[in-house]
Amino acid sequence: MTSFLQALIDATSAGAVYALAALGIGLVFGVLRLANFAYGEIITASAYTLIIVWPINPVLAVLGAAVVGVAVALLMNYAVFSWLRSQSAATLLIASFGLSILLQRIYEGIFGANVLSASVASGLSTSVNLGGVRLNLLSVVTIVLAAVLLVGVQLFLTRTSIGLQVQAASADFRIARLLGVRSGLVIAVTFAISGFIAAAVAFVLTVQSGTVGPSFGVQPTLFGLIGAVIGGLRNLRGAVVGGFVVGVALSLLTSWLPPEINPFRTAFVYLLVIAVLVLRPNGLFSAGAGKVRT
Amino acid sequence: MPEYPTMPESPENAATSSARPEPILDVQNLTVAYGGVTAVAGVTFHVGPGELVGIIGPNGAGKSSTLLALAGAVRGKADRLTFEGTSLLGRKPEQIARSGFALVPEGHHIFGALSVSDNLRLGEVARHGKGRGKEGLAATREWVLELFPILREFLGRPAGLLSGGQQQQLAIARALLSEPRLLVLDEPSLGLSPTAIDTVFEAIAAVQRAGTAVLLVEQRAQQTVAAAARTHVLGEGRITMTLGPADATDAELLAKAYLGS
Ligand SMILES: Nc1ncnc2c1ncn2[C@@H]1O[C@H](COP(=O)(O)OP(=O)(O)OP(=O)(O)O)[C@@H](O)[C@H]1O
Ligand SMILES: [Mg+2]
Repeated sequence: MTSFLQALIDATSAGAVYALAALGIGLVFGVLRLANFAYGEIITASAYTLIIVWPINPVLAVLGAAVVGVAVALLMNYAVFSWLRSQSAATLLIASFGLSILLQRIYEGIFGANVLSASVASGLSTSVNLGGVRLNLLSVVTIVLAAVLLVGVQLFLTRTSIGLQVQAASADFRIARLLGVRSGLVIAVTFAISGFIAAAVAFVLTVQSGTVGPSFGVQPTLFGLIGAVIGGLRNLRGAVVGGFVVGVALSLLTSWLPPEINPFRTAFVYLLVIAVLVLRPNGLFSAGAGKVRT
Repeated sequence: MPEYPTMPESPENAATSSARPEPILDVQNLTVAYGGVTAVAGVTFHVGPGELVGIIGPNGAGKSSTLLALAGAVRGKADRLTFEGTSLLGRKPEQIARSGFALVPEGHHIFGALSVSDNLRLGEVARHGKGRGKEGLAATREWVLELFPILREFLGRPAGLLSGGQQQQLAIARALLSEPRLLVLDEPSLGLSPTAIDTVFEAIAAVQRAGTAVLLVEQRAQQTVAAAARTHVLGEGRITMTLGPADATDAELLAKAYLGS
């Protein structure tokens, strides 16, 4: 029973990480129809900041990771994607692929191909005793962090004028602009929020692993994207749920699969993706492709 | 009823512009082409302050293309294209919307997943930075909801659940919340029941009485010609005829306007 509860909390926490990644990706997809593969490199930039700065000053490391996440996201927007706004979703996707690989090579050039290590917030890696159940503190912190961010984004989207404008732009960019919604501002705000969320993902993952390499952000982005596709990229709530489901499935497969087939657990996740897309073929490019955004 | 800022009617102004006041919208030789296909082939007209001007014409005549070019949503070329003396050419749709020009596009396009009240709040986006305070906004909201009482009942409801006529009312109300000096409507009666059409035309008349200029594109020729100071007939991208209110009763002329003379 205890171990079941622990597995459940761990699965929820894994789900929370990918739900956040799916949220960051889904927000940008909403306004730009961009499935941003380079989202992982925002996570990686924040992770490098955490690993390098933490030994010097933990508070500075956390603030720095957030600032770097937002800055890299905005830089991507202004340096690359703002030039491609009127292009098709396929063009944007390929551009984000290229950008992802380019940034990984840049990280490799600066920090080397090997991983950097530092123990970040090692206090969180301990277990706490909650009413006789031993729980991983990091799992609990991850769930709380994700809940706060999800509620925060929800409040932003529904309670603020600019959040409402993001919703309008996601639904129909052309009509939103006819109502005076500033396209550049809305896109920049969306990128900034997605960068902040990437920093949160980086925090959880660096505490978990204590290492960062050039391709650090690839895996969470892939799973976040898969989750978002399963849930429906056009529908932010669905994307978040999809990310959560992928995380939970991965985590449960890890704890329950017999050790000899455990290495194939990601294959099961892909099987799940295929099954979902066959049953609900509302795939990546079915809607919004070729919409004019400029 | 909010007082919209209108052109100052100082004596000097009247003297320099003689009989005809400076138009709020001045369109000279507007052309719009999609790739190689010309949709609008040199259209010239104007809208005076507080005036209601109509454009009618058959499907594909270039009515929507004209309006979209004015609003900056498609690229047009023109010898002159000014709104309140400022050129609209090369400006972004959001800039034009924020300058007091409101377009209700064909097919209304409300945000179906958002509530009626959120749709109306989005209408206020273009009003921002206008300097008119909270009191002005409250008065405008009240006026708009009096114009379309049905919306007040459904404020919390998803806009997608409204009927077609109600959605059209919402789209016009949303545009009015930006406190425009020129309201541009693209076939607001499209697909509506006769009663819903009457509601829309009554609202348009009320907007004009409040001092807002209106440019109305319609298929309902008779009603439009009767209401507008001038109605231009568009055919194959050109103005083929201009009618006055007196022509509204001339069924033969209206029929000829559509068939092309
Ligand atoms: N986005 C577009 N791309 C290519 N051609 C277009 C586009 N929009 C309109 N056209 C063409 O331009 C011409 C004028 O179209 P427009 O929509 O302006 O006509 P309209 O007078 O508004 O017609 P309706 O009464 O059917 O709304 C038509 O021949 C149409 O096929
Ligand atoms: Mg049309």
